[in-house]
Amino acid sequence: MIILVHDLIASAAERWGERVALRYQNQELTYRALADAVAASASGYRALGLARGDRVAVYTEKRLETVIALFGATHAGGVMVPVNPVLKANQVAHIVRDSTARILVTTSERVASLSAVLDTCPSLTHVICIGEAPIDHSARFSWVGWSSLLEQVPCEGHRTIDSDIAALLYTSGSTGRPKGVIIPHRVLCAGAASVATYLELTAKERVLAVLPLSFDYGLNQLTATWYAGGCVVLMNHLLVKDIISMVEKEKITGLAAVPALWIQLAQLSWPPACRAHLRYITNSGGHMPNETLARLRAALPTTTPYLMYGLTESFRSTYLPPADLDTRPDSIGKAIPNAEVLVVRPDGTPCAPHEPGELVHRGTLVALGYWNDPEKTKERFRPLPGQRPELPLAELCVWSGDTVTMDEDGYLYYVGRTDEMIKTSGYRVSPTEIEEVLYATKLVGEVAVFGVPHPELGQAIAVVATPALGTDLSPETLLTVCRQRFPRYMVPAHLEVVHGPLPVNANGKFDRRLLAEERKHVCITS
Amino acid sequence: MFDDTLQLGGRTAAWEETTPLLGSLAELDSLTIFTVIAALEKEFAIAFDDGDINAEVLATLGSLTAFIDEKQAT
Repeated sequence: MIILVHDLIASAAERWGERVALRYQNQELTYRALADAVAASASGYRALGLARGDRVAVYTEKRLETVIALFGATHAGGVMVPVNPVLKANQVAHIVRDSTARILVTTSERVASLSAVLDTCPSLTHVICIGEAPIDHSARFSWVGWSSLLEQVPCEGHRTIDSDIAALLYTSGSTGRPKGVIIPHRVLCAGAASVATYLELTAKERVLAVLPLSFDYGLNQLTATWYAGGCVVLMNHLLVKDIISMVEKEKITGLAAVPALWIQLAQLSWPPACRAHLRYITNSGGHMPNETLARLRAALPTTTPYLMYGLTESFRSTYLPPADLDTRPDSIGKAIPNAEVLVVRPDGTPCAPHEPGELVHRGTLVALGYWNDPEKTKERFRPLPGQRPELPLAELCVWSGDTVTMDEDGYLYYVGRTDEMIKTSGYRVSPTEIEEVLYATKLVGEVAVFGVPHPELGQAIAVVATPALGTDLSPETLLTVCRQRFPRYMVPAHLEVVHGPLPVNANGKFDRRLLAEERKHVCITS
Repeated sequence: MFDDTLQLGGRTAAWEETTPLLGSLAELDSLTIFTVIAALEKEFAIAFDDGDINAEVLATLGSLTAFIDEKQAT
């Protein structure tokens, strides 16, 4: 049994040493070469004085060195802190300071943008630079070149067990600065095995890693594929159509994305050649509109879609078995193997079928809280409701903050983020429900629904949409559609048609908070 | 032009032909790329067709300028 995340690579190297584990552009690494590089970087970290549990932050686009740097950190007995490459200098500095990282790995191109903030990170002793390291003796830390890191005398990692921390994954919550979710080795290993099993991954897999590796499911693209002996192809994209070209060129068998990305991908044409190899697609990080799913299924009739639900705090919670897609396309499915999902009222009692309640996740995938933040940890990580009184120690579960319903057969349905639910004229309205109806009209390309302050209603419903590809759309047309399809309290008070993609946050989700903030005055007349 | 569009604070002064664009600049993402494309069209008085620009063109500063030169010549 594999209990440490980097042993996924070492174990695969013993079984499939000559198979390709990782590709980026025209470079590739076999499992043997990857295992050796990971061990070499671990020795390099040890030579720099990395102690057990020290954090190594990695701020780079996806490339071979990124993967080596991350897994080398855990191999040495430290903790990996993958930093989303789209974050700007101040946010990177926040993560380095908050995680009190001792080592930062970055690239020579990115160093230029970081130079002003690195001196505000007192915990840093070394900055490792991929590419040419700056010659700067005034810095409070030492510069190390990536190639010299890999040339140190081999050295074993610190002793580590599966409850030790493997990663801090920083997530942008709905309020405040990003929090570091504490992920032990056992969660990463169990997550890899679980996903590899229900996606039925094999050594023939060629998975395109489009999601950032700082995202729990993005990191899992690597670990689940390696669990099965397959190959991960890394990609950094600017234009969505390049993803489709890459699927075709690299004969990709599996692609994972988030709803905002699937919505764009579904509007483009997929070459028929993709059907021969693209075995499955997965969605996580939010609800995929039915219209988007229908388009993808029409474009890729031989590809199996897997719809998943999960939070970084408990990795993955549910998935919809593909056999249930036709009967329950709007369900997020049932709990994944070895996890249990409850739907509860605020007092912890179980909800009746179809009664909306909070999703609570229990099991081995539950994280260890938020780094250095006992207050926020107490809000999200709470005791299991209804635990037997004979059990003296409370079992901690993740109270997701997501509202869902469960039907008589145990299938779950996503309603919305509890804090994104719009409270308007005494009703609670789910943004997802309105978005779903607007996508079904085929008039819109992308759409985000959120609440804005309103003097009489409390909150009013606001809609920002882009026209469907190659069409025009007036707000009046969309408003007429809403009036036809919604009861009065669900008709948007503010409706805007914009051009170009809607803003997304660092996790690739539509940034409803930013959209709402920009429009907080639209329903208030001065 | 990149400096203005993406607010890079003068970092472009040190750019060379081989400076990578795609992936290596946090400021250049799937949203700001459209601002950059619009600014390029204006600056060089050219019009890109849908499908013209792809990952290869955006790989480095050199590949992008070569593409613009070619576009201006036609």
